[in-house]
Parts: sequence; structure tokens; C-alpha cells
Amino acid sequence: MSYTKDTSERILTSLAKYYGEASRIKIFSAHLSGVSYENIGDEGLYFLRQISNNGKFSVFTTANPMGADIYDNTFGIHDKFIEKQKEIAQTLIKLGAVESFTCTPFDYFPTPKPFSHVSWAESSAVVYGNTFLNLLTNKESSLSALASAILGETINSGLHHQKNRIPQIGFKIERIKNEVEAGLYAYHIAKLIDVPFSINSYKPMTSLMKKAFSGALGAVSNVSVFRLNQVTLHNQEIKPSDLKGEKMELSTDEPGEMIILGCPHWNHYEIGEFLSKLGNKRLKKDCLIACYKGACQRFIEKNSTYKFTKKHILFFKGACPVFSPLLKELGVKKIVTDSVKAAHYYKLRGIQVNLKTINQIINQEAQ
Amino acid sequence: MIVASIKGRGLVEGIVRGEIIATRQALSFLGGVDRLTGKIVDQKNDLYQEKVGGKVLYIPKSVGSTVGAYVIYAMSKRKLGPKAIICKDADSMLVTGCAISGIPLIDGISFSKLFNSKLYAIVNGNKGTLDLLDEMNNSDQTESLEIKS
Repeated sequence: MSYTKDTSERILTSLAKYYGEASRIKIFSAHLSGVSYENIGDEGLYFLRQISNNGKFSVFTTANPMGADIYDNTFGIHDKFIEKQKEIAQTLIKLGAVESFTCTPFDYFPTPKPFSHVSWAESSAVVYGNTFLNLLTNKESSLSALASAILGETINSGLHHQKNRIPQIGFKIERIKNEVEAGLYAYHIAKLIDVPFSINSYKPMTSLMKKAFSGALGAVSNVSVFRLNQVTLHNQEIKPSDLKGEKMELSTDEPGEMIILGCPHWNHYEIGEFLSKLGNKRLKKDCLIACYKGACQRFIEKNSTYKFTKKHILFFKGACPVFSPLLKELGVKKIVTDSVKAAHYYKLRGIQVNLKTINQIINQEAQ
Repeated sequence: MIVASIKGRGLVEGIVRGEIIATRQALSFLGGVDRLTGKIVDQKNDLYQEKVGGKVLYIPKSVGSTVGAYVIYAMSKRKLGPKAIICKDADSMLVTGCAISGIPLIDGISFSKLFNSKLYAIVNGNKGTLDLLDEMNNSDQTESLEIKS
């Protein structure tokens, strides 16, 4: 057996042991995490090189954002990083991944029909896929999703079974007002329980709220599915006042030096909605929007005369500014964002965050 | 001398001996541990600034990013990884990260069983046993006293 298949077998066998020697099941797609050179370093790159020497993905495979925009290094991230990041991207493409590099693969790439088994490893996409697309996936590790992409199968356990997806408790939330609140509700719920739950609210979530909630939940919890407006035996109300402590934990009043949006990645509709709300105003500081390369292209194709630089808007294409040397290289230590997921990880990286909604950003950070 | 022996579930095989460092808080390997130094950098964790290298690391569970498996692998390649990981609840990140790095992993052990975190231990990933020792002595017997956890 080749090193690639042997290693993949070893990974899935260890996982089967964890799930109680469960059997395997065919998957329709895989989504890989562990793409940023910032996260996996030379050791991860070496591992991927070894895997790519004698193997190929056997199912449709997308991949997470990189640590830098390798298409257009506007920010001048150092050459060594760009070179290594390009090699990771090329290695994954050589293995058969589509050139996706996004944490929201469902926005642009074909997703299988509901109740299909997939093997996804981006925590926010796992929550989103299980909840809003009715896909069946466990929160795979970077390594198990890679092994699944090679072998075309995963372990038939956990969230692949309907009985493990049933909400155990319902949280009554009158209405989620914006994407920051959505993230904070998820952050709060993650501290309360460790089982699937239902959000019972009369007002539907917008696309940004769905992404914000999924992103925050995936970042701080191991719960990878929730439901909307389902009947549950146990119920509890959560009020906006319950979120004050969560916001204080993550956010400061410090004015940020830069605005960072697109966590999880925005699509071209979400970019368009933000710019439409911004109208004739111009942001007072640089605003970076992280997105799939194609999202940026689609927006530009439709709005070729839009003056991004005049508005202080920059794109970070196919990349994630959180797991990137970007802020360190720019010397930025305080940022503004609307993402609770980003706030959580930035805080771990010693960056101060001021959480503001898009509307607050437009009202307070633009003129 | 063996102070107690605790039975858990062996998930990744291997037998090692080392000093235990233990935390009551769940740990995110990505963002919570520096893969270049093996140091815990999550300020909220009570092992903040401790190095996991060469230690038997106890965590109740891991949380957060799925990329933690690569962090475990990278630390191990740099010889900065833990000798073994003991936890209450394992997950796919811990299992696959440890499997690919050859780090013995046992789950099903609660923090309260480690009544003194300054203890040493013999970890047997094959049998899923954790023998607690009061000192690091190579002549200690490894036969278990089999206390049900």
C-alpha cells in the first residue's frame, strides 16, 4: 500500500476506534482545513508533500482559506510566507482539490443534496452544512477530512445518524437583531450546553446571521448542529441582557486601527449589500474584506467602476486575516470587526477587538 | 511508588512515563498552544505559559479549530509535543493528531481522579491505564491496582 493510502487508513482506523469500531460510509464531498501556512508550518507542508507524492483525492474536495492573498499581495506579506503558502495551495490542487480556498464552500461550489454524507473540517461550515443544508457531517479534524478525501469514505457515526442530531433543549430568543448578536448568542450557548439544541425565534436569520452564528459556535463549542423552531422537552429563554458579559469578555472600547470583515467569508451579495449601505460614504480607516477569489471577481464584474481604494476597501482573496501574519507585519494591534469568531481568535493572538455591527461601522467609522 | 491506577479507554497505543501537567479548562490547540515553542498561550487556561513538551498532558477536552491536529503533529515533529495526552472526552482532532504523531491517548478520565497534579504517571495507551506515581523512578512497578474510574 502507498504511503498516502497507508497514512489515510491509519487516520480513519484510529477514528473508528474512537467511535467504537464503527463501520465506514461513502462520502459525496470533503472540505479541508489546515491550509494556512501560519497554522501548519513547515511540518504540515512536509506532511502534505508526502501525501501528494503518490495519491489523489477520490471525491469532490474544496479547501479552506490560505494565510495570505497569493493572487495579489497588496499588503506585502514577506516572500518566504507567500512562497510556502503557494506551495501548500499547489500541493492541494495537485491532490485534486478545486481552487476554492474559502471557509464558505457552500456559497459557490456544488453541495450534495440534503441528507448526503460528507466529510467537512471547517468548524463554521460544518455547523452551517449540518444545520442549514441538512448535510450529514461530523466536525472532522484536518487530518481525518484529508484521509476521507483520499479514501472517499468516513466513519459512520456521530452526526451521520439522525438520532444524534435531535435537539435536546430549546432556546427562546425573541429575535436576533444583527450579526454580532447572532455570534454572541452562539458564544453564550456554547457555555451552557454540549448537545444539539433548537433556536426558537419568530424572526428568521439573515445570511450574515447564519454565518456569524455558525462561525462562533464552531469556534468555541463541539456542538456541530442546531435546529430552528423545533419542539423540545426542555426550554430556556435567553435575553439580550445575557449577552453583556460575553461582549465584555471579547470586546474593548479601543478604537481599532483597521476594520476586518468577512469572517466567515462573504459572498458577492453580502459584499454588495455592505457597499450599498455604505452608499456615498467613505471609511475613515482601511477596511479589509475576506472572501473567496470568485466572490470578489463577481462583484467587480458587475460594478467595474466602483472605487474601492477611495473608500478604503481592500480584499483579502482566498485567505483568512485571522490566521495570517498580516496584522503582525502591518503592526496592527487593535481592530474593529463584526465577527465573534474572529474576536475569539484575535483575542487569543493578543489583538484587541472592538465588536461593532455593520450598521455601527457605517455610522461610526465612515464619513 | 504507584499511588493509584486509573482505567480509561486507550485510543492511541504506546507506553510512556512522565510528569503530569493538568488543567480543568478545555484547550484549543490552534490559538491556545504555540506550535513553535510548545507553550500554552491561552491566558484563560490555568496552564498558561507552561510548556507541554515531554509532559503527560491532562485536559478535560479539546475545543475549537479542527486544525489542532496539525498543531499536535507539528509540535511532535519539533520534539516539543506532549509525551501522552489524557482527557475526559476525546474528539476527532485529538485522536487523529495523536495517531499521526505517535502520542499515546487515553480518554474517559475525569480531573478529580488526578488528586495531585504534581504527580508522575505511566501511561499505557494499549490498555488504557494511567498509573499515578509519587516520584519519577524507573524501578517502579507498573502493575495496576485497577481502580474503576
